[in-house]
Amino acid sequence: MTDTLLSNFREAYRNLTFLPLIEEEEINKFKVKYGTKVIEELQQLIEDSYQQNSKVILAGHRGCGKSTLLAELKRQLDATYFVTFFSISDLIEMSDVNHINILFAIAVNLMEEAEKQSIKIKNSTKENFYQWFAEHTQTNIDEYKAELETGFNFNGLFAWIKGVLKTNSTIRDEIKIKFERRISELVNNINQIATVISVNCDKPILVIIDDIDKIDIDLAKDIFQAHIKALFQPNFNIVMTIPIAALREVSLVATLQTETNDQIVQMPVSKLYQKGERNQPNAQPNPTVKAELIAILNKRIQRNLIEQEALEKIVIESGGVLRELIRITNECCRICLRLVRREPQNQDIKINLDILDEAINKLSLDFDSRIGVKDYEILKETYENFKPNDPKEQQFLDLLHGLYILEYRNHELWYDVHPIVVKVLQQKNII
Amino acid sequence: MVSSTNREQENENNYDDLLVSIEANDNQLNLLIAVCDNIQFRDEIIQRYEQELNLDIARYRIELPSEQPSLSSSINQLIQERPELKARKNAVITVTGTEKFRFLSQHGPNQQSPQEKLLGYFQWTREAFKHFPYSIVLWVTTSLQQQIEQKSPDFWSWRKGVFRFESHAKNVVDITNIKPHLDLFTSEVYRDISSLLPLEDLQELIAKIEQKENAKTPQLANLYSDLGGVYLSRSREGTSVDYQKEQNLAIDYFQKAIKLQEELNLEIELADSLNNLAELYQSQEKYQQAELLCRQALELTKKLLGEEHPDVAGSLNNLALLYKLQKKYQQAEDSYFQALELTKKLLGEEHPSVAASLNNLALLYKSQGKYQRAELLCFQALELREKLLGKEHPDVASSLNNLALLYKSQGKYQDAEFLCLQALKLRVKLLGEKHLDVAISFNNLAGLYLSQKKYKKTEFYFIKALELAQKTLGKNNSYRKVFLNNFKYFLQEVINSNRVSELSNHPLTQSLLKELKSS
Repeated sequence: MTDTLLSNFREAYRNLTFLPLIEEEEINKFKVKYGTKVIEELQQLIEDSYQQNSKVILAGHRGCGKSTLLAELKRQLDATYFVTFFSISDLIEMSDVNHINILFAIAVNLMEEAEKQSIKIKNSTKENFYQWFAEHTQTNIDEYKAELETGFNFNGLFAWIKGVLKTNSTIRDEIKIKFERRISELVNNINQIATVISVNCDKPILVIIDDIDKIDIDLAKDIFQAHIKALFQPNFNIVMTIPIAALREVSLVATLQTETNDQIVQMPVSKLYQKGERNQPNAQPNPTVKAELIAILNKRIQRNLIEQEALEKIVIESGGVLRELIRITNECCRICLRLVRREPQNQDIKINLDILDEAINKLSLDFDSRIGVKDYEILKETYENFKPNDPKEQQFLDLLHGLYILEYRNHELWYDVHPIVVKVLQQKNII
Repeated sequence: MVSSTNREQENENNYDDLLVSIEANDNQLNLLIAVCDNIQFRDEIIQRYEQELNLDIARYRIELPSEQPSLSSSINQLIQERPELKARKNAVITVTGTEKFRFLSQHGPNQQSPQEKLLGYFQWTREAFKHFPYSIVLWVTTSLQQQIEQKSPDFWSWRKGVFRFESHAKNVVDITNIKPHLDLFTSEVYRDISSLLPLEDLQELIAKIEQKENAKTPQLANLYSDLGGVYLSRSREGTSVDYQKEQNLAIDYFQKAIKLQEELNLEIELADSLNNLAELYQSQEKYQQAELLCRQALELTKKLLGEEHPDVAGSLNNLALLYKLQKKYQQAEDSYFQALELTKKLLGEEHPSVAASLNNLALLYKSQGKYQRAELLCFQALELREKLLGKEHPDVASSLNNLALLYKSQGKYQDAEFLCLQALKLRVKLLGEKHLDVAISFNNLAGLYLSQKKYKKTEFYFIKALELAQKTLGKNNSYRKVFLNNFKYFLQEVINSNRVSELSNHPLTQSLLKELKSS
């Protein structure tokens, strides 16, 4: 019996990972319908684009489910679009991301996806494309050339090119130097590749780039402020993520709004409460949102391992951020595993309010360890007024970036302090 | 008071949490961050879990190379060297070596420091999750953990758990550290106590006034607190004839003073008395009572002098120390920070009081085991003092001494020894050979050699400390007791490790050995 308890908690621990749902297996196991509105909004912006060259920006908190949602967008549009979805971080060293290698990465991924989907491309065209890639990545193409009946087979070539891009900074530099002043040439080549694919599969192109929001904020500013035009020059649909803090930069927002035709989609944190509601006695969280978040957990942990009360409280403590939801539950599982280890005879171990309390205390250490006096002030202001005194202040943006402060929106934009941080503030008598 | 058993329990919980987290994993990346500032303690924990883990989990260790501190390439290298890892379902890789990376660049402020380099390499991607389906236990120090959170937020957000281990400071370290606490009393915290009247005259005067009909005057209140002050300063300096008795007398007199000052509404004086009484309670380890008084004093000071006044900073420092002694570290840190900010604002960034404040904070971090942070602040304090006071100043010696103790706690014995000797040299030069601080230096040196199990040197310096204490301060002073305790502790360790033969024939050693063996 205890073995079952042990293995059940272990399974839950393993299920509570922070990875986005991208692989088929995980999706089948864990998928829950959420963020429907955001997907619909994105879909609509793309589908409504008259020339099928929309540029859409998705902004949202770290860990709020952007990657899973983008993967879902790809699945929904796969039938009607040629979609390539990739994480910029899997291609380029994050510290070295710039507008040129983003463009180059788009080209590489378009070709790779075309290979994967076995899209027929004329041999001569194909060879020219490959030659182009090989030249810029200093690859000896002959090694990969193996003529088959159907034409050239370049198995492994793109894996190689991706490896080169990722690890070889010299080549990245050379690509950058080469194309810096010849952006239009680069874009033109990419457009050609895209057009060839589009024509051959008879679908419009959609490129989804994930994880651009994970680059350093200053780097993001540089890319999106100075080079946005180049980045948006390709004549097909592109969806990309950007750091939520970057959207608080007024001049940057203005640029983005102009360049995307105001197509910035915000992925909000699930709003459990309306603004100001949480302070009211007997405030009840929004039942739909609550059910959505509970559904996510139900997929990952057996119901008999957790008390209903605790489950509901976890949802509230997460502040609506998916990764936090998982993290809190994971910590609870760990405590239960410890108890199982210590009391192997005890059959009644379950996540209850006490265990949740211990977990929250532990997690609060992660937040507590780095907030300074000035941060407390900002947190206090935000807690009391649902906005800071100065939303452009770097320190506030850092807190936003680090999930200390969460951004919510309906018809208006408002902020709140992460529930675990609220607890820290209360312990210190700051609020 | 948070007891050490409480800390042990926390450590034990964290240990079990770490263990079950490793055991629950199956063929996934399981990124576990373990935080510990004491290398020896850390190694004990690693050894323990490697022994206790399920047998089907393979154990590996990596130490990050300092030239290229890339976690992922180190793991890749391991996989290449140990091809069986590729097929393994369950493995734990323990990663150490991060503590070697200094956070200060040695090549000027604009150069990337080794630690920044390390943080840069933490830019993991989702790919890594496929390539490393293992439990990875990354051991970091507290300060590095905070850096990771700030500088590598995505890596941090992949963490599957954080396990904090608080190192158990050895008794002997705590005791040798007593000086910095006192240092704080005299320089920053309490106003100097001075009385023109000698003790006997004060007593006489008080007796006279008390006999009067309307005895309850501000004068009497002041005399009470003056007399209390004389006893207090004797206990501070270790010159009490009878330590215990005089402490109690001091308490009595301050209580009398407070009562009268309250009655007569003498608020400024009252604040002083409250502070002094707090100090006395503190030295008797009655921390709660002391804290209460201290808070009263702070409120009063604020009310009388405004929020921004050097005395407010002083009161905050007092309070912070009390929080620290009660292990309310966060509150201590907050108060010290407030004091520091206030001091900077009132006196400027470059002021000896700022150095003292930095020093206080450093000592706080030290007692929390946050050695790297402590080191940084201690170093800043030292630099500031050297700049403001010159290289030859007792405060500089204190800073050197503190820094040495910090290095010692981290096992950097050579550096510690160098600084300790430098502090000693400076103290002898500036304060003379017969000074309490010199004796403290001897004691600290002894403690340093003790940690390295260099028993001969340990014995030599403890005896020097004791002899000096006796010569200059008389038999009953509190420092002598501390030194003696330390010495006994040391001798017990020597007995336990069967190395008594290495000790000298010094009568003090021999008589104490006899005493210890018979008990």
